[in-house]
Amino acid sequence: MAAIDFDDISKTFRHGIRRQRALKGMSLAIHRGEIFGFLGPNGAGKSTAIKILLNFIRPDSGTVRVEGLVVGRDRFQHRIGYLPETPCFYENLSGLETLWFAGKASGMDGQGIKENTHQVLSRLDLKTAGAWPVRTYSKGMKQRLGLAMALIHDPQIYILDEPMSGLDPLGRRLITDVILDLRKQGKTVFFSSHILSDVERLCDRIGILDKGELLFSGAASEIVQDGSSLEDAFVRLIEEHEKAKSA
Amino acid sequence: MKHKGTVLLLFSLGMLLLSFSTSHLAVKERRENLGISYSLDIDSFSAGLMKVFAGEFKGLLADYLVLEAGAFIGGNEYLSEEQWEKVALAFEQSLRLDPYFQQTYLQVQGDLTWWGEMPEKAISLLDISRKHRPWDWYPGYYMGFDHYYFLKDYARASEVFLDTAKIKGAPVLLAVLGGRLAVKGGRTEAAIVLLESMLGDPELQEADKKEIKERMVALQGVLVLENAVKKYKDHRGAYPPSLETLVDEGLLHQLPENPYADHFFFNHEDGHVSFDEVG
Amino acid sequence: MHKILLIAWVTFKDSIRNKALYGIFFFGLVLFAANIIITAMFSWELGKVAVDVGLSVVSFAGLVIIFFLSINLVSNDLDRKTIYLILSRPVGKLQYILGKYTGLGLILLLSSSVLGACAALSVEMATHNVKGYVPMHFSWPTFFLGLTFLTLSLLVVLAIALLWVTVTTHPFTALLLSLFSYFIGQNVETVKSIIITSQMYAENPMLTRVVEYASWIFPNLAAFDLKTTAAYGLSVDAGYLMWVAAYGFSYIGVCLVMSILIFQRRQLA
Repeated sequence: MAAIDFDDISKTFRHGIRRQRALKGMSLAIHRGEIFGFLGPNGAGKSTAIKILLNFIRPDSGTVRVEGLVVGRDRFQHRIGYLPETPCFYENLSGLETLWFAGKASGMDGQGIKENTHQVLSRLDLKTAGAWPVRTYSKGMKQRLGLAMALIHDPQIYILDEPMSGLDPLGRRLITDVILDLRKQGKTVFFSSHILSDVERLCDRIGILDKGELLFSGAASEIVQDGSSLEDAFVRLIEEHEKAKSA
Repeated sequence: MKHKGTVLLLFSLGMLLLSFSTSHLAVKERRENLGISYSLDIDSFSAGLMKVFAGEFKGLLADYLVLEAGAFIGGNEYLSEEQWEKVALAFEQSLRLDPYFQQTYLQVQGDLTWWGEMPEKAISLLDISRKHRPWDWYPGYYMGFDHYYFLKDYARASEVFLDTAKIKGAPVLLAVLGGRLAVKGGRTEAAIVLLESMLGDPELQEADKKEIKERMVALQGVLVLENAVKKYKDHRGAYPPSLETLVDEGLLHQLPENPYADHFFFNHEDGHVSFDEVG
Repeated sequence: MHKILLIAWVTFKDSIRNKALYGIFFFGLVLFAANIIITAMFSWELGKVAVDVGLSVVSFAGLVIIFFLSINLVSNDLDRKTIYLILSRPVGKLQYILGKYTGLGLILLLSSSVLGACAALSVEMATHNVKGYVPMHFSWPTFFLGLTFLTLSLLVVLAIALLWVTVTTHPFTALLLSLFSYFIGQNVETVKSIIITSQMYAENPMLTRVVEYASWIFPNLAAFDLKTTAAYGLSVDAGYLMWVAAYGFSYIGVCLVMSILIFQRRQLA
């Protein structure tokens, strides 16, 4: 059974009379224990796919399953940890209170939360900042606190939306390390990104999305031709697709 | 599982709606029965202080007060004296906030005088409107009427009527009415002067002109007779038994003609002269 | 159930530390000081004026909290996607709505009790030296009854505001609609009685019907208003109060269930 299984997902948004097809029958499976990079230019439909996966929006057709649980019908949220693209918190709560809330909401008991909070905060270098209100945090600290929230209840599957965006090299390194740790523990990570070098280094497999269609999914090495980079391969693939569409 | 949840929610919505309708009707019925519903909540703020708090919304507040007072009167079969005081206060506050509003003085006249039995209060409120609406003859007309009908103060009534008659577009009736009351109130001379000035109005219509002239003749007749009666009394210490006595005694050459009747009317007990029998 | 309380706790904790709330409390305290001065301007029925001003300030502060704090908090959740962090966990939309309402309701309860105590204090102080002027029947139980029903009416307004937030996509629209509902709720009864008693509208059954419908849709907030009763210490009918309470709670319930039903169908793009 796949960890995450998109089965023929279509979604059209209506903005007044204008219709925008965000996803056109996308099918994609992410296996257990793998790190999957979800790539695509802006507006390709990555965010839409993630929002459908989390049941924030409903697909027009198709089903998503998380470890066999049908999204929108079954409860699957306790299996996943999610980091939004730009995480927003209750600004007047402290980092510790935010994590306590996250743990409680995921059904943990007080003792478990205490232990995990300690561990997660030191892993993400937020030890001292834990007691401060979130409104005093920098962008990078907020990103790390968001990741801490995804980690606190130790789920099997991680869904990270642009985890590296807007971070300095140190922050990116920290998050890369955390993802590699997760692989060691046999967890599944599904993340979207623009930063291809990170993806190349981290991912077991990648998926490339453009205009709501999945152009490729498989190991990065499969599309990277000798001597070129993933970036070249990515650009080539998108260009070919655009050409084919306009033709 | 999802459907079950929705069904449960719809069921509770139904139950809540049921409880809502029951209590809605119960509250409605009780508010009507208990008379709580139309209690008028007018605070004893002085109108001046109210103006400070209302700021730029004083017009709106004024309208609101009039509506509240109107609903209060309309919603109750019987109002106690105390309640009428509140209504009057609401009208007063409204007028202080916006002294120009027509609805206010119309309601003051319609409600306070006939039903509230507070003509003095009504007159003082109408006076506010009269001063702020110099183009409008209605407030003066109502004031004069209240003086005449409720208070039987003919002098004040005629004064107000005659004053109001000067307003452009006011019906000639006002002057004529004022003239008549002037006789009762001992202000005959003032009335004649006013009517005279009105005759000078070039826009006056022929029919109106004729009416004013007739009234003037009548008033002048009354004035002549009044003076003669006064002279007679100064000499004799009593009123003459009839008007003819005045001619007999040589105080008048002849009796003036009354344009409305064969003769003038005279009450030899109080010495009152009038051109009509009524009053 | 404990998830609802959890959301309520977070909402309460977040708003209690909101600077705006301090502003509202401070403003309330200033008004109570003013109450003592305002009351001194009157020479009769001081107690009535003090109670009037006191309870009005409590009510006003509650409305400001609803319109400028609560509506913003909930729409920020939706706008800035804070809600993603909640709904990506095993927390349902039903629990979210009920939790939010409970948390914001607790803020209102807190504001009513703190400011209500201040109001009581200012009434006591304003009338302290002139005991003779306190209305004969003035009683503290009626005062607190007035405070209780005032708070209940605030909770009703909060429920409508929450409903509007879940229906609309923009916080400003929600604010306008809530203000509009509040205004209609305050006046629907008066307007209805004018239209029914005035001959002017007798031949306009359309208008009468519109007002009749409005009185079913919008809450009759005037029914909760016991300020005058409290000010004069008039006796209130227990049965009437029970019905008003039932009315308030079922109105809140209807609003909440409708919010949940709508919110469950809403896509959080």
